[in-house]
Amino acid sequence: MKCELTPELVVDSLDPECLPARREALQEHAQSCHVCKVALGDAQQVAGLLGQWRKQPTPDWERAAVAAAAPLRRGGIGRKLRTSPAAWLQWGPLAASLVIALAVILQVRIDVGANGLSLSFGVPPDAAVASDLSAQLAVFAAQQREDTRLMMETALAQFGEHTTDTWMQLVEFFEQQRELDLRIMESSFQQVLDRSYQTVNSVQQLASYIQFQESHGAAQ
Amino acid sequence: MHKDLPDQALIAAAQQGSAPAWDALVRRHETRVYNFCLRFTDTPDDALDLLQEVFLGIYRNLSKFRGDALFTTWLFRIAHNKAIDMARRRNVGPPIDNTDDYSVLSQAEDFRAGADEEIGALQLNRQLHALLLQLPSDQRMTIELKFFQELTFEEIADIEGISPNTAKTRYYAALKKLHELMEPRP
Repeated sequence: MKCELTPELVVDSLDPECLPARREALQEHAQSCHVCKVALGDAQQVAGLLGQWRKQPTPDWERAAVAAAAPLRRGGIGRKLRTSPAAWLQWGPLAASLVIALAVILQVRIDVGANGLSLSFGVPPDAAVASDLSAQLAVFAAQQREDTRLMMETALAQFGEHTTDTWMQLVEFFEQQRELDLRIMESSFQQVLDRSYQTVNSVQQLASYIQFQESHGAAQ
Repeated sequence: MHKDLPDQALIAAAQQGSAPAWDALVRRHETRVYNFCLRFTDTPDDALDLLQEVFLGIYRNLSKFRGDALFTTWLFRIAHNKAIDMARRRNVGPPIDNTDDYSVLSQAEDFRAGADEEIGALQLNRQLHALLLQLPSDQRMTIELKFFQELTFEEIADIEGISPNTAKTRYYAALKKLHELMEPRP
């Protein structure tokens, strides 16, 4: 035997939110309906039993750890409120670190040349660097040679119709210089020889002194 | 100072970064949540884990609380979700073919008549916990939210994503099932 009102009656009768008039009407029905009366009694027995649950105290736990574990999605507990209008600046160090990390990873090179700054990525091959250097040296050497040639041409143009006397004076000057060099060299050799001779004499004197000391010591 | 403030004031202060307000809010509701967790998990350790997950969820979403509903309703919405997640992760479900006799619970007064009333109460808690674990998860949650947390069926329906009538049906079915479990077995 069933009563279609039983579920509603049981649920509403146990609901603290149920209005008094509704509760009274349900109780009136339960008095006359055996099925609902039994069902309500059973439910009240269950509710009475569940109501005996003894509240357990909460064990000690790290309440603040919750706040430390995760930031609020907006603001933050235990944090100072933002007072600076340029609060976005707090991301500055992070952004700078990111840029540096990217520069390292991508091997960014900044070169300063005649045309100003240039930005390049990766490391150029050694062979290319050597080739570049050699080319620059070759250009420099060619420039030097060209300069020398121009200077000689200018000198020859200037003294192109020089006289034999000028050549003779030049030759004479070179001979004088050579003679002077030879004298200086001779003088230097002589000084070296003199010093060597003095050195030999000193060594001989030292040897004589040592022999004398040894023979004198043996006699005593 | 914070103890006397209403939930709304504590939440507003916590949203602005007040650690003492957050602490007061947690202390005010933690016992209620912890007992919810005790009834919904297998062990006190699991209950403490769930408690921390619930408050972590509340903390993370505190800025979203607009005060449209009671804080407790919002709190148990999060607790409900976290409990369901944990149950799924740990594959917790009612024991199959349980043969325990819960008829002793109908004489619950016997537990408290012992020399140590506290031990008796704890023993009764364990028996009630074992009894509740026999219910399917959805029925157990409905009993939890309606009977222990005293939410309205509309609130329960909103939390569980069902209609209020379905919530009532689940509640009735859960009460009926619990009574059947309490009947003496042959």
